[in-house]
Amino acid sequence: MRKRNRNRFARVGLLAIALLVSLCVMGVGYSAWTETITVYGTVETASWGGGLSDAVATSENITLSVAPPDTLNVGVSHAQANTEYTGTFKVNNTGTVPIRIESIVFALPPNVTADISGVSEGDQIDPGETKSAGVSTSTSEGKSYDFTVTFTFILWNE
Amino acid sequence: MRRFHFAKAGLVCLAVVVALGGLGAAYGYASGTLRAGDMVAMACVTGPFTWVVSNDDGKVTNISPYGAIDPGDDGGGTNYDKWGGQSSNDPSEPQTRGVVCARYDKDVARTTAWMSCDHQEITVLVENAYPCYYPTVFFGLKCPDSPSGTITDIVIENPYPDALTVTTSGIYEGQPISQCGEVTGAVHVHVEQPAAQNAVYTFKVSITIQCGSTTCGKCDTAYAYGGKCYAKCFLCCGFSNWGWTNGPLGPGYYEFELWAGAAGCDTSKGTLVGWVSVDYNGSRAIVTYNVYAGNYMTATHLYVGKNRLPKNGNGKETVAPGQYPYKHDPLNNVTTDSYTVTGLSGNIYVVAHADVCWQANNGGGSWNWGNWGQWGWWNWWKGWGWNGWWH
Repeated sequence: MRKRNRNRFARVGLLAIALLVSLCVMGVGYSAWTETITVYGTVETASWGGGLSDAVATSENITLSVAPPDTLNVGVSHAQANTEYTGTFKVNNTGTVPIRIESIVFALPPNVTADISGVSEGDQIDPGETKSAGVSTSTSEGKSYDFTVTFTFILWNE
Repeated sequence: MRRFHFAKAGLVCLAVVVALGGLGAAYGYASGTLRAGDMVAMACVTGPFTWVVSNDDGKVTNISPYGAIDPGDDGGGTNYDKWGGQSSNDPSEPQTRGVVCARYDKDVARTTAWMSCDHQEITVLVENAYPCYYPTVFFGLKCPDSPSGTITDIVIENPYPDALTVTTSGIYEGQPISQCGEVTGAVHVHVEQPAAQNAVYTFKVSITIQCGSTTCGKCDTAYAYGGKCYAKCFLCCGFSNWGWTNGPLGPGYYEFELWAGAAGCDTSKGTLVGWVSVDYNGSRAIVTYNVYAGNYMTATHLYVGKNRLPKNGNGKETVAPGQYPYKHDPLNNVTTDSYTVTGLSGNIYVVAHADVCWQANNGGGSWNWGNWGQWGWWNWWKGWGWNGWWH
């Protein structure tokens, strides 16, 4: 009789232990947690580009104008042979990133020469900076003529 | 005649109640865990993110124990300086933590990054960006108050792949977050050539972590305690800091308890976190620190010598661990650490200090595993009448 009671209580004890362990395991399982954390990013890009402005004739018979943003129109009327006609203009960085003058391309008629002074290909212009430049042209024969000078700007790191 | 032991039955009920209480508390803890959508009602707590550093905010940031995170972020702008000291020459390649990266000679763009108050989010703001700009944002993360976890998922949402390339490094799916340790990662942003001017692009990196349930507990300073036979409290030597010098020790093998946070040299206020062995043969002493499972050390400092205490540069006795002659600082969360000190003679004194971290359920105040010893639980159980169940 006493032995039966011992077995019964032993079973109760084991049951209690099993219950305890299972509940603890459940507790651990519930308390393990998952969480998502986040990196939010915003990228605001700059503006970049260059432009020409303030084209002014500095000799007779020549007219200058800017075709925005990067082309200089030059006209010479009744040019005398081998006479130099000149003007000035400005080259600006209109953005917020340093730029570089990648190329300066002349579209000239026959027997006409032209040159740009003050700036040259490869020059860097910082944001807000303005460079003063000059244009000069001549022809080997007396005539009227027009030509254009086109600037190409790129980011300094390209 | 059957006898019903109400006391034993009560014990069973008590165990069930405790278990249910633990379950409830644990569930409550899990339910209260911050989630992305729950932040409004939450106060500021320490979340998984531990720190964040941009490599183009004009300052080199040191984070312990890594040192300089973003060397080269020195606030300079060599040939153009838009931001002054708020930014540096622009990075042109992804940076590895602690390693200098290539930079342009201009400070055009700027990247700043900050954590939300609850450390659940990092916000990255890239300003005046342009093609080929390549900033990196470093971060640390851990399971808050939890000893371990895993990064289960990393999702990069980049709606503008033509304009931006967003990548991560240092973290990966399945990566363990070990032993209350920290994982460091980085987000790299590359602005691509097709990026438009005056545009605003956004991206999002979601990192899912799964953390365990137990807590990391705390970290504190710890000293070897040689018991009443060998230990002498610093307080008795005119110092205000607690700790013990142990000696004089003749040749032999000794094991001393390692107590953390025992203010006033009162071990009842501290936590037994490990032990320190001293193996002294008369000329050479091997001193070994050991901490109990789940605990770890981040630094150790040791004095072994014929005087009761080390001396500082002025020849005065000191108890400041940083002035002990032997040190391993920092340590990378180790569980054991050893020194071999030679050139000794006669009796010696040992002052063994460690910075120890332990888990809350692995000691704390007068409740600690170490006190239970190898058979402590058995004795405890017997004390509650385990044997009586079979009566």
